[in-house]
Amino acid sequence: MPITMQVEHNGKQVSGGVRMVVWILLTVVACIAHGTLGVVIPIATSEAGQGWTAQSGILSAIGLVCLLGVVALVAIFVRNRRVQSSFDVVSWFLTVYSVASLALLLLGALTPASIIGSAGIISAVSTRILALASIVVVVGMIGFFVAYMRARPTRRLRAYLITQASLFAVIGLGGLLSVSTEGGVVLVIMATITSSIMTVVNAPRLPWLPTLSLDKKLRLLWLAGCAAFASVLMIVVFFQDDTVLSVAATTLIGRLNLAVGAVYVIGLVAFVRLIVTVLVALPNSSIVDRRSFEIESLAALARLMAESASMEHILTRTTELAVRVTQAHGAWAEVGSGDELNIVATQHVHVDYVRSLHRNQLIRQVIAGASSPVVIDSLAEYGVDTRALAIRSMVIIPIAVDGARCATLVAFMTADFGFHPDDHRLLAAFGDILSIAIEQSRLHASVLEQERLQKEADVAREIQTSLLPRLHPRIEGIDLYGIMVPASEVGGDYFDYVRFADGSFGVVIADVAGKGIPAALYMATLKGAVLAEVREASGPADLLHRLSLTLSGQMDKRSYITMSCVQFQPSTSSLRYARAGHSPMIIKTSTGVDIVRPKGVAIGIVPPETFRTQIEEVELHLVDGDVCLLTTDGVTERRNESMQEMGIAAINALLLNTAAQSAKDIVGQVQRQLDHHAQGADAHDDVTIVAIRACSGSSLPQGQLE
Amino acid sequence: MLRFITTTRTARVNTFTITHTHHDRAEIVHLHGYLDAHTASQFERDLRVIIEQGDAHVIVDFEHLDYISSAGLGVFMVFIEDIRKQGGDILLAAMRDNVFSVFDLLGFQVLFRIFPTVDEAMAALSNNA
Repeated sequence: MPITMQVEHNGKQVSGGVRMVVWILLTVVACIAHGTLGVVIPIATSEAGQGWTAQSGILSAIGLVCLLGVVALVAIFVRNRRVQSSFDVVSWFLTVYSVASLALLLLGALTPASIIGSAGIISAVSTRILALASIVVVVGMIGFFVAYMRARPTRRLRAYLITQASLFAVIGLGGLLSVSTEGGVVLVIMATITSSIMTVVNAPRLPWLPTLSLDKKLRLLWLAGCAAFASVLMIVVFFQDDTVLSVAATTLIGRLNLAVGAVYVIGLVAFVRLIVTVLVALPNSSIVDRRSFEIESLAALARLMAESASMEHILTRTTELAVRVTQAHGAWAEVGSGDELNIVATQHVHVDYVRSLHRNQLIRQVIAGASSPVVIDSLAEYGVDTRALAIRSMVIIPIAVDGARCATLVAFMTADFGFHPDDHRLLAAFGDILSIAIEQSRLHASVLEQERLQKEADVAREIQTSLLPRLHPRIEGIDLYGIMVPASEVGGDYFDYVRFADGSFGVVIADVAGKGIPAALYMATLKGAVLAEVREASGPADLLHRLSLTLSGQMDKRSYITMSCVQFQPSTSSLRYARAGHSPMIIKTSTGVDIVRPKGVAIGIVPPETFRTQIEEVELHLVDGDVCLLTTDGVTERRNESMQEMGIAAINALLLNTAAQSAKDIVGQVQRQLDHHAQGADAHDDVTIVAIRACSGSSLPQGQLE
Repeated sequence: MLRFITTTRTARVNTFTITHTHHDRAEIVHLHGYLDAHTASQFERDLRVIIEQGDAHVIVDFEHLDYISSAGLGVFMVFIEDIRKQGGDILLAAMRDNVFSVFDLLGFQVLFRIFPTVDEAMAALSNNA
């Protein structure tokens, strides 16, 4: 489809081009013929009044061919062309028309009168050039009108165009007839008057004119004035028979000057009509300008909002727009108050001046006290001594986000009653948009921050989870189970099953101070140290001491690790336990529940030598059914909505009353107890629970992993 | 002579405030509210200012501190080494039971001297001198 269309299009263009070339050739040939004949058979124009002669008839006929050639050229050019009605097009046409007409006048004025009408080649050529130029200008003008009117092809308009074309034909005919009879002149005048009236009545409505800005209207007025002036000059020149241009035109065709003059009369009427239209539309220009700028500025602010620029940038642009729209003498935007007052943006006023204004108690009160947009027509009315002040009236727009004032926009004038009610309304709209923009940029920032935190938390949790044991060892005489439930923000809990130098099994449980990725990385370091040191360690206290040595100097001053360590001694069915500042072990025996709390300091708060003197190791003998519970502070400090911690008593009570037969069940029960206490409140710390239950009955091969 | 530095941080519902008074022998720092991960960095900044401007001796008054987390505890460890090198000390006083138990469990008594009241801490300083 597109190809066929293009072919058609090309075909049309080709035929149009061929026709144009034919007409150009015809015009040039006719012109040359006319010139040659004119020289061979000179005709004195002054003899025109004597009536038609054979020579003048021939020459006029050939001249008519020239005229038709130009008309046809313009017609081809205008064909299929609809000129959009707009300021740019109209002003372009007025400019071209004025310049062309004045250039033609200049050409006519510069050509010596003696050359025109006399015999000789030079005379013949220059006369024809002038005549053709006149025709081109006039026909071009008509052509533009036609193209312009065709933009809105209504039936009425078509009728108008046909009538106008007929009237132009009558004018031309009248021009020709007037060579022999005075009736021709009358015909020209009648047709011109009719055509002028029709032009006035049917003048295009120019819907775009009222919405033009003031300076564009003035430019249009000026151009129309120029065109009208050029028309007047042309009319004067062409209606006189003895001017150079008139003579040149009549040389081509008898009394052509009358027809040309008539067309200029109609043009003049159209231009005057345009001037009147523009003049009528002038008074509302300032309102139109203002409205259009208001819309532009609101749109600009909305765009700014979409860009989610920084608050400073938004406020700077807003003050710029405020000054331009309201014609205020200056404006500024401020954030905060009192000592923390920050003048973010100023227009036509220095920051220091604004600060000095704020030193004035009354002005400060007025600005701070504005809870909604306020216009102050006269600062003097507020008791402000304005003798030393340049500022007399101001508009204060407080900008609030979530009900809290976050910025203030102030525009001022150096005269009382400087602001129009519209200014107030518009600046208030600015304020509304600003508050949305600021809120949006804040939301945007907080969303980004949240995403970042979430990502960090995910990474930390991944590290933490990867550090935990995946398998639970089966140890003879011991039922062992442990879990770690990470908080949304990783709390640094860690537990692991280890094997000491003598081959015995053990458990370590630790809590690294801090949260997030730093805590997770300390955990990784800790795990590495534990795996390395436990191979050499003889028991829990030794392991903890070795760790404090290894980690000494590796940790941030703020950071420390609490840790508990248990070693199982299946041969004596006992366990050894040491504690480095960690939550104490809870033990349930047949006689009740007890808390085992050997001395010990957290790793990283004292030098290793001090650590060694403080650490204590205890040995506990277990019988079947005894339960040891190791936890982190996330368990005892688990809070509910009313911020109450669960405490150790609840765990004690649970252990005392439990009938659980396995370590896993006990861990499960503690977890349920935690959930029961928390009642859905978020966990602020990781929760780690390791239960150890003595059970010599279920003997399993030592050291086998489940 | 009295000077105040006051900072309030709102972390959800918990607030933490630090004020301090200057005495002949020591700066007394009063803690109020919740000292946790959200308020610890602010606490550290304020304490640094107090220590840099004031006496070599600092007594921390825990009377009005409701809660302390591991991050809060870490702040004390930041300054203790340097202040002792300069011949000063940080004394802790008037802890509530729940706060004391946290210090106690961690073995902080090995590192810091903890007194039941601010007056006793002051008296201890006098005796040292």
